[in-house]
Amino acid sequence: MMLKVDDIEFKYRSTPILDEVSFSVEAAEVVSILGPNGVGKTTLLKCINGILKAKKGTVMVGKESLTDMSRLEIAKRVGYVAQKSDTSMATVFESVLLGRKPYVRWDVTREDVRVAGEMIDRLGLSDLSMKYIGEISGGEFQMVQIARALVQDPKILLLDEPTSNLDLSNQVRIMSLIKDTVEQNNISAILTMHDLNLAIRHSNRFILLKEGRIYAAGGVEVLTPDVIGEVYGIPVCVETIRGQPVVVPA
Amino acid sequence: MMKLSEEKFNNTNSAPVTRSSDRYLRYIARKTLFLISCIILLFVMMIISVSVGTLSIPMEEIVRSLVGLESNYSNIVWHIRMPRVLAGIVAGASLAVAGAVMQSILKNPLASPYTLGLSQSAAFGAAFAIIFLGAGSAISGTTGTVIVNNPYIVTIMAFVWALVGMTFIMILSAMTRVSPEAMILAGVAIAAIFQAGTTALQFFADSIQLSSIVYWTFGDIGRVTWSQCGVLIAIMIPTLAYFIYNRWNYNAMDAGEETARGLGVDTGRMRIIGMILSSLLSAVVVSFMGIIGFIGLVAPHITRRVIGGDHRFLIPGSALIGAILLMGSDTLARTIISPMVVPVGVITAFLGGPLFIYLLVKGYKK
Repeated sequence: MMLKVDDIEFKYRSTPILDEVSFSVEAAEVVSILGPNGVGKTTLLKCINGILKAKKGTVMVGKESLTDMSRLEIAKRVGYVAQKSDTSMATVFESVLLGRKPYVRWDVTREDVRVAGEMIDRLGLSDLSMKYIGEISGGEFQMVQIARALVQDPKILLLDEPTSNLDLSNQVRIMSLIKDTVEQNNISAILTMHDLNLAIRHSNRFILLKEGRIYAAGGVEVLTPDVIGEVYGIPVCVETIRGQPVVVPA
Repeated sequence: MMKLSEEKFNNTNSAPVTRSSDRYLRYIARKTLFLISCIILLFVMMIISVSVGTLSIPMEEIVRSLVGLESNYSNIVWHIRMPRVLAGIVAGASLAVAGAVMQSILKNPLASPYTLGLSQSAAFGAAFAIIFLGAGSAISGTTGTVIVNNPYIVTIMAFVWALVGMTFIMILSAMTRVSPEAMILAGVAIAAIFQAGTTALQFFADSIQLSSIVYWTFGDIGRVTWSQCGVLIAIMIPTLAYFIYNRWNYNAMDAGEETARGLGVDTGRMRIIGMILSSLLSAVVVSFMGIIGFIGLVAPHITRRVIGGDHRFLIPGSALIGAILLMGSDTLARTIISPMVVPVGVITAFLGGPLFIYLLVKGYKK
């Protein structure tokens, strides 16, 4: 088992956001966290990598507890692609190289530069490498963010709405990249998603949150009209097209 | 190292001519060259700055004085020109680095010691010392010029009040979870309060005290002595070392709050320490020299425009550009209507304002 989240509880001031959230993720698995806006999806990701301190509960990566680790040590094990990221005055190469920060002692080494360069070349971002982040498209920026998380050499990849604001082609491209990377490197990815059909196509398992608790979890079989309707509060149909379930509002 | 299926993700539009890392290393070499060029320019300007003034000193005599050989100009070089030039370098570098760090940690291109109210709170302290502690009520009998007759009290009070201003900003921002927006807004509020306080003090001042306050607020490098230069250097070097040590943390913070935290950076702590040290740096400069606007704002912007936002180069680059700008402005201030010396703060504002507008327009066009 790669990741085990046990009994996470988080409150903002006195308002409970997450309560008794427990699940585990296997190696080479992509898990999508689903649920309406404000249900606690992003908070859950932040609790996993220690950006937010959970009031209760533990997070284990393999046999190591992230709960007791420093931020820097967590960053060596968990790569995080935030929903909001600033377009700083950095080039694409500099942005990807930043992913080596948890390993930097005094300065980046030639090896760090090589690792970042290789990732950029492999993702097909070579032609953009010396461009400023502000000069590239939204899809390319998302690729850069994922590249930055990957050069952290993480065991767990957390991605907060990785396909939001992307066109159809970039959505598929990013999701394929995540799935292939996870499978080839035997790591795990946890995503928060709004597009149920994209999640169904590219994820192994699903966790549906309702009012800060896990309402349902499992493979594609848990995504029934009743469950989705209950979680999102609207009636839906689940039809099968080319052997794959497709969620359609009723 | 992460594996990826190359054939699936390679951009097939155009194959890279060279590997990205090679390009990056060449890019880094260009940035290094920029820093080296700045060091050479600074050195050349330093010699020019020592040479020109009411009395021109030949280059040969400057070199003789500096290496300890006998020269008629030794006194002028060592006791008048060199402290001034060195003060310009150290103050320019300090204000620029403070501005660069403030702009990064507050994520606001307008952040500088001046816009965050530190200069205004120091000016309030100076006005307080001049009016209530009797530190500035004398007029030179021969020239009719106003003299701050106890500069030490003025300097100490300016420094103390600059720290008071900084403490207010930190408390207000801590109450709102140390967000960059809260710090900027707190700074603007503090600037307004101390500006009003200084105006109120001026209302109660007599004409000589009023002249002293106005004289103090003109930034002037010429007031600085060797021992004050020593204090400036003693504060600048460890502070600069701290900023350079944390350059990767600032790079991470540039990418966004959550990204930085995800990379292991304690952003709240970095922001508080960064603000305290950059405020301290600017408070020392302002209390010794008065208000010198625009260096802290413009120097980091010029550097960013030329070599980008990588703090490994931005911090030393800003220091060098700040030093060049302030020393250059002071040289101009001493020569433009020689033998009169224009306050350097006037020159930096006149040069910095249009330069800033130019950078702004150029930036937006891009």
